[in-house]
Amino acid sequence: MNDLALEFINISKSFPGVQALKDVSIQIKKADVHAIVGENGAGKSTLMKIAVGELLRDTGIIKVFGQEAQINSPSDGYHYGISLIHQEFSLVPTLDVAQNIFLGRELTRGLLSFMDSNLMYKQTEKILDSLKMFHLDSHLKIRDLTVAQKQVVEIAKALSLNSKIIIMDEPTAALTLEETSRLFEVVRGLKDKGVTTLFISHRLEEIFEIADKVSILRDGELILTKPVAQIDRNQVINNMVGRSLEFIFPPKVKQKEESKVIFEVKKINKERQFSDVSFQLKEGEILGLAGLVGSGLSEVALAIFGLNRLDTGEIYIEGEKVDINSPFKAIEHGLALLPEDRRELGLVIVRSVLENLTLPALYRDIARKYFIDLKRELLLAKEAQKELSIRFASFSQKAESLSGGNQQKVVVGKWLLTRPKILIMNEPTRGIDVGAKLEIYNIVNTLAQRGIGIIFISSEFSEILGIAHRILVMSEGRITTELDPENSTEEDILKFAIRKKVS
Amino acid sequence: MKNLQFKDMIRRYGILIGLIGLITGFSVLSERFFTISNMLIVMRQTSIVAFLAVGMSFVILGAGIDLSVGSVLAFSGAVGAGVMQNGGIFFGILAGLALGTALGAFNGIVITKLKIPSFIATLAMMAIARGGTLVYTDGRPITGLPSSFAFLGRGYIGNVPFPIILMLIIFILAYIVLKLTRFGRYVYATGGNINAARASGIKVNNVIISTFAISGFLSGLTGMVLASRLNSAQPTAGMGYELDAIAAVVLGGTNLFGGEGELWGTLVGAFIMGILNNGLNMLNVSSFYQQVVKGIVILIAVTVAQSGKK
Repeated sequence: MNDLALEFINISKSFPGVQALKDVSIQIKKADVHAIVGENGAGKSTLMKIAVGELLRDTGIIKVFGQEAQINSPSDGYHYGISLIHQEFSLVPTLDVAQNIFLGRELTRGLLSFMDSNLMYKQTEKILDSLKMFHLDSHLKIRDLTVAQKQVVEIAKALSLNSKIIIMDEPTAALTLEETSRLFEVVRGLKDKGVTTLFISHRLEEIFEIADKVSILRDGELILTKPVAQIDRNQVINNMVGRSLEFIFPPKVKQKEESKVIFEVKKINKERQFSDVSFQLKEGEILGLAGLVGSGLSEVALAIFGLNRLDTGEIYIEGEKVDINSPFKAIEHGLALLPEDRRELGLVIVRSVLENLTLPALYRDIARKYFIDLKRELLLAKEAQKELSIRFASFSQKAESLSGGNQQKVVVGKWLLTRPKILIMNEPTRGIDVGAKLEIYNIVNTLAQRGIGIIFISSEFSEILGIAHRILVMSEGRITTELDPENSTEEDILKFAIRKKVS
Repeated sequence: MKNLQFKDMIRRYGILIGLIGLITGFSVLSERFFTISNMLIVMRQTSIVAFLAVGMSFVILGAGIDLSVGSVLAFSGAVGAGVMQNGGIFFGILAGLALGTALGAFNGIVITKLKIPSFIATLAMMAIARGGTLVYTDGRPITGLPSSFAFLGRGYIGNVPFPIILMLIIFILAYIVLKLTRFGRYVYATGGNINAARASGIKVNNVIISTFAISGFLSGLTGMVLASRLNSAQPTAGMGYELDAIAAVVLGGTNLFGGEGELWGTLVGAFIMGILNNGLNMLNVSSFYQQVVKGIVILIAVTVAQSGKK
């Protein structure tokens, strides 16, 4: 078996509260394009990071070209000729293409070791030519390049490091169709040179276009590895989704029959983010918005909450047209947003649990004129703590010291104290363990029962099916369908979530 | 666990221990140092830096920096003194305070509306206000101030110099604002994470403008106190004071990136600066060396504070 480039043998990895990978074994043939697919959280990125040493495996062996490799720190990957190209690039925007490619290992000449710029530009151009990227000028600054061009620079950098194995993490996520096909030409060129490519993608059609083999991961386990010629699209989807729903969702709360519409958006647009999005939300309804990363759902949430300006479109709250140009206004109209990134938008992590819990409610409820009613503040915070059973040692503890699940509950709590009518939850269970997830689902149900309208955004389709009364699926900035969770499957959602725009 | 608590203690109270150490050290080295009269002198000297440092605390807690306080102080002092010559004490002081506040607010508006980093915006104001002072005074001190104006900088209530009392009043007011009002909470939240603060419905621009206005107001006040002390408004007043004020805040343990810090730390920091000045003078250390010592003290203090973290 000398034709194997990379071999994962029984790789396991766990994070606090999650088993990210369980005994994963994959063999990757030399000069193959090998696709790794799976839902969000299936363990794809974790495995790739382990391959280059950005993460340390708990157990298991990695073999590179038949030899057992000691990959234990981020620089070890390069040492064995493995490069990982991230979704976020590691290029310096103010330097040019050649400077980036040779960053940290500049070529020098002469006694005084002056940089040999000529040689560096020449070598850069040679590599770019070999990638058939004749149009990319090695003197261009990175900040002036398109996303696709940056990707090529990363690939060129990997080649200049003599990488024999290149891993691409969702390389096409931000590319146009044309750029994608250009990238695929580059990948085919790599194959001809004997370079092995690992390719992570959500877009199944791409896998059938470019890959030789596909490995499917689900919940940290390898489900299968097969040549793409021997598998079809539906089989891939079935295996990605599986029958894995081990945790039980709490029974759904019945919606009241005669509940009225409390929130409505009509044809809202934002250039390059989403277009013609319209939907209604009823009192006590849990509306599931499903979509993959990059579908535009997060942008919709930010825009509704006044963190981004809409280009066109209208928002109605309880039948009245409103103009929301700031979160301040949004809160005034009874909206609340549980953001996708709670450390960035949800919490002031260096401040205490108490201050975080009461921050948005200070203005209308807790403070009289200018002064904070400290007694009332503590009373309300205690109510929220009790209701959501948030666990922490003291109210003066910094928010950053809480677990992910408890941090998330603090964010829920801070919004409950504003007594919202509409709660937008963007990926509310991301990065929290299974037990805390279940608690969040229960909270969502309780709030809906109380009459709060809930917009539940998620890229985990199983949870959307388990929690929502009604599901809208979004893809590439547009709503592609409405589904009834009772009569739908994850496969149905996935089909509409990855559907290309019909144009 | 014990070790952790010890580190936490050092981080929280290290600066206070440092202050006590300094006082003890100087007391041993010079018998004139730890006397009531000298302590009152130290406090009066400290009050100038303390006013500025309190304002600077608001700005830094909000994740900004104000380099213009020394220049704004000079400009406000000069204009206040100028108005006072004809308009009387009341309008003179009012003019000084109003100008300081306005220049501070202007800083805040430039930072939030034009989205210019506070370092650069206030660096520009530092030049503008100093230039304005020179233009207004024609480079000469403004003298001939009403004799009763002397009270502000040189007066006593009982045996206590008035600037010390003023310093305590300002400190208590600022403490109340930071700890007990909505605005104070907003300053911490905005400095800790401006995006999360905005997403919590806080009008973060107003918060930032207000912190700079407070810093400007206190610069104006310092300008008036200094003019009263010197019985004249000097065009070169307050040069380099911004650095003393920043040093006091940082010595006091406030995070230079905002969101974390206590006002009492700032006061202790200001005292450390004041005591270093006074003590080294008593030991006849040349003012050239004093600068070096001050710099080293700042390095040591910040190193100790950081070692306490994790």
